[in-house]
Amino acid sequence: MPIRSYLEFDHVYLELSNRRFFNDFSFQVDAGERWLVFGPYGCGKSLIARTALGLVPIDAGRLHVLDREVTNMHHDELLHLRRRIGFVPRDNHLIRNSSVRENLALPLNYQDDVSSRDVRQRMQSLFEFLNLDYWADMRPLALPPLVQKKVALGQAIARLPDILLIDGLRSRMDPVMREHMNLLVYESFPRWWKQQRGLDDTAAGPVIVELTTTLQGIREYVDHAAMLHNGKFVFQGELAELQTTDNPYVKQFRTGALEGPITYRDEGFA
Amino acid sequence: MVAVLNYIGRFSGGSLTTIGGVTRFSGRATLEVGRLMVSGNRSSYRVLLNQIWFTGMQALPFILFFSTLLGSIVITQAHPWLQGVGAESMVGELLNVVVIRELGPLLLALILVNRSGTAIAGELATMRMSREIEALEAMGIDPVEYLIAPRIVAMVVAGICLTVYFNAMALLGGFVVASFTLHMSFEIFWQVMGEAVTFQDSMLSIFKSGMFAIIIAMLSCYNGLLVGRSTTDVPVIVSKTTVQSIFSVFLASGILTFLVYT
Repeated sequence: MPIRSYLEFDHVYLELSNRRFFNDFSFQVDAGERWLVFGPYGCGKSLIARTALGLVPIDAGRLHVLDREVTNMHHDELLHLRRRIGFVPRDNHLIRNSSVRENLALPLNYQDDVSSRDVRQRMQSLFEFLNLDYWADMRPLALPPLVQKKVALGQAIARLPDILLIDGLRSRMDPVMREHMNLLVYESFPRWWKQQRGLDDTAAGPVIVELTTTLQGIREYVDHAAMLHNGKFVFQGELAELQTTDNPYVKQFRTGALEGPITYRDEGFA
Repeated sequence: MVAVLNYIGRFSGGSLTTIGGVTRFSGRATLEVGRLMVSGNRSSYRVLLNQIWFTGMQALPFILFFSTLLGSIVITQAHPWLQGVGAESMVGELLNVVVIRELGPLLLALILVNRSGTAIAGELATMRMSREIEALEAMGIDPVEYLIAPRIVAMVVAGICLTVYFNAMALLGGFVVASFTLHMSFEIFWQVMGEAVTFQDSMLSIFKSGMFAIIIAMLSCYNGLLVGRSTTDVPVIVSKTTVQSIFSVFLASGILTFLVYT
């Protein structure tokens, strides 16, 4: 049965440590869409992923993920739902006591109705796709940043998720690295995903939502962009509009001007 | 006076909260242990084998040293008295009461607390702080299933096996000293031990170790997962685990001995 609602925040409120992160926040992602959600540091972008995964409960509103209401979901149901979502955390959060191979096998070993043979085949395919053979037996802390990110991506995509949530894809990367990651995530991954699922090239690819603090290295790979500020989107539109819009938030964010609606007064900056 | 009462109140409240928390956690962990035994997956089994290797196999030389020393010390201390009353045959009874019934499981538990319990608490606390546990949850992996259940099973398996090993090596240490000081042959030693150690004593020793291992594993895992976000929390948690485990193990040992031997 086709999924109707991939990700839907419907008038969501969330307050943590006396700070309002979502204030009547609404956001909908449909099949095959690629979203770029950006905004100032600490505005709550990561919380989009963490609430969608049910790691942080919302205070009010409705939150649907893959046609399921996440609020008040039972622990076991939540675990099963999370297995259909890939998440790449900003700092990767790989299991440091395990090798690259073990890290990648982890999500596959906790998957419903998958045989050992399927796990072996997927592992082989994953290693070929990410070109990680050389690093297979190393521990995450011994890896270069780009490889760590690839392993985190591998963990997230191993189960061929319906939704891929990426937090800080290009953080701590130089421009060349960023371009490599762009191509890997937005060009190669959807092709591999369709191939693994037995779909043809015309089929809709996986939903990808990227959460970022910087617009550097953003190319035409995403369809939609949205800016989060003060608990809601202050801009939503096509990626191309980012360069032309008169939206004061986007303009200030793009240019890095100190004058504008984005301030850091709470952090002690005038 | 008010300050003292206030302290007692806070201490009691804190203790009750800990007992409640550990009880709830133990219930959940026991369910996951059951799931691991019935239908555990490869990643959990890998963690289990690693833990058995660390808690059990790697501790063997360390335990060899302590156990043989314990057996030697017991016989060295007792031999003037044994010779004085002409009761060399009491060697078996002495080693049984001191080593197999009481000090074997208890000393082994202390080794497990200090060597493995602290390691488990520290490792889990570090994983919690570096958000590895949250990453597992985000992948749809229950940390209790993947991290906790294998550690509890490994601690119990290793604890029981190490007790048998500890007791055997302690008896060996006792025999070596007895052979020099009391000129006891191995055949005689074997005979007096066979007469002294009952099936109930052996089983109680193993049962005690299993119970101590469960207590240590539960407290170590519970405390490890409780850590906050500050790096100073890790040593605090490790220290708290050590104190709570030693207290609980001694209490349990006292209660069991009282129930069985009175």
